[in-house]
Amino acid sequence: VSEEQTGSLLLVVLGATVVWLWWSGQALNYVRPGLVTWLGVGGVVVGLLGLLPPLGLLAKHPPNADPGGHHQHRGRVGWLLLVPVLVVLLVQPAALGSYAVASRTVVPGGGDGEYPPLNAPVRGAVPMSMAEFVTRAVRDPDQSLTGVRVRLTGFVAPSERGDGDGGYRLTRFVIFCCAADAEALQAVVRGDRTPRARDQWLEVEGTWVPRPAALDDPIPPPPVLTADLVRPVAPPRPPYEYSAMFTG
Amino acid sequence: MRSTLGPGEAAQEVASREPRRRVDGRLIVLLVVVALYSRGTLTGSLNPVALRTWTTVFVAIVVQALPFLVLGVLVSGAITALVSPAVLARLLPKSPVLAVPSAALAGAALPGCECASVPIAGRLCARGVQPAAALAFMLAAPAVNPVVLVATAVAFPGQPQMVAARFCGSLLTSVTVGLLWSRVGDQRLVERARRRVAGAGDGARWLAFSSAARHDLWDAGGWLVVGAAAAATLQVLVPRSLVLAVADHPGLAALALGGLAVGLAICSEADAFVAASLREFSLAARLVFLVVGPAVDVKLIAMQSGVFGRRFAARFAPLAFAVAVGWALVVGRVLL
Repeated sequence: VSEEQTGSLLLVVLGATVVWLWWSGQALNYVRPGLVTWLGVGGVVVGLLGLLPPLGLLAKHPPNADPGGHHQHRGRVGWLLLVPVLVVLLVQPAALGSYAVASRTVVPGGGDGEYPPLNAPVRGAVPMSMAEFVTRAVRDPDQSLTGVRVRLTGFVAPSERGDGDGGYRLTRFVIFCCAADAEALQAVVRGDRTPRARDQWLEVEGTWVPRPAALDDPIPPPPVLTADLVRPVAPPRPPYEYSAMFTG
Repeated sequence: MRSTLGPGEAAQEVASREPRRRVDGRLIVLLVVVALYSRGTLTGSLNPVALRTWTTVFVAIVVQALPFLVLGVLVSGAITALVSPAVLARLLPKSPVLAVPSAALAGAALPGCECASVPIAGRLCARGVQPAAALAFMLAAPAVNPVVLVATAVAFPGQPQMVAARFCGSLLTSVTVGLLWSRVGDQRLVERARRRVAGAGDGARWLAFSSAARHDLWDAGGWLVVGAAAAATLQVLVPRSLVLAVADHPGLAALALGGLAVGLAICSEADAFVAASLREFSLAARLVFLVVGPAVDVKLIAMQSGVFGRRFAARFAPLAFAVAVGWALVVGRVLL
């Protein structure tokens, strides 16, 4: 087996792994949905580059025997492409969890426009994204959340200094391109008597604890929610939110 | 100034390199079969937990970059197979003073991530484009294209001056670095890229295309893995609170955000959103983050050492960093 063919094989394996990430939906743990299709296309192209003659695995004549000198020098670094393949297969890295929160907590800035009216309640609570909840709670001068029962989905991250007794931070990551640029949207949950395990996904219903809007504070503390109904849920697909900005 | 290494000599030089140890295909098959068989066995057993975050961020950077890298190697294959050096020479002005800004503006038309522009710049060099122009293209393409500018406008609502500042800062940076390189840069350092066309013959277009694309995917891809590992390690080991600590000091803040851009290696389409959330910092300091990021980061340094050689990267990265920080500060003072 020539080295050129081994390289082709690695490209085919890499392409197949990437296509599998796309097909199985695992790719959503790493990138935003808009990129996933392109990921599939990219995987197919990588696989084809490894397969198609005259250099790929399907070639009739081993390319090293080619007298034209088309064989180019192969750097050793390319073999590292095997590393992400092995990491994906062996570890199957999950979506970012509570251990990645460290100093990534973000509070979106307020837009300069009007806040749109709240969605209609469903089964007694207004469902909303973490981005909407945090932005309305911290930035809306009209305090549109006052007295409204909301329903949020997120995972459990430990509370931090200044959050008050007990409780935890309901957390959702927002990513823009891939998990490397993730930022954490958080709300402090109070009033849940059951101890919750770190990284457990929860659906929390409750009401916001009003506080004056922090219009000028660049890094205000996260908002506080008094929970009256907490339900463990399966991790949502996709696991992230994709915009920290709620109003334009 | 430019070296006159002919294609024949180049081929000889490649051939005369000492043979390296071969990697056996059976080893890869074995590894992958074992991995498939024990799929997911390491899930959840990874300790310390930092390693879990590391694997996610590492895979995320590689996976996110892959479509752009594929686009880049397809374009570089097409350049090799379809565009003759003579045509390229006619397209670009002879004098670097004209060629460098034209190349930088041409970069604005390629809506891609920085991962695409590195192999393309390597192929442009290999096809006889002046290194200074190819480098200006490489710096400009990820930073001033329409997709990135629109993302910046979305991330900074009501602050259109940020878009203008980013465009000017990045364009000035790429032109300045290109011109500086044409004056003081060691042109031989780019020869590595030029040597690689040794085998690309005329006539067999498909062979030339697939050979170039496969080669660039191999080299740039391998170094992308190195860069992704470095960026993931920095993300896990260096707490962001360290950077936030200097937010109030204008000079240090600019340098710290420049360093953060190098370490985070965020895609240029996403960095505006991260910059928008770094609200502790002044707009000028955040502009440094936006101008440095697409020009220099650990992932790019790794890929550039793959395409142009390590000695090139060791000189080019500090130069680009210094120029980017400088222009960002100047533009920030004028526009923000």
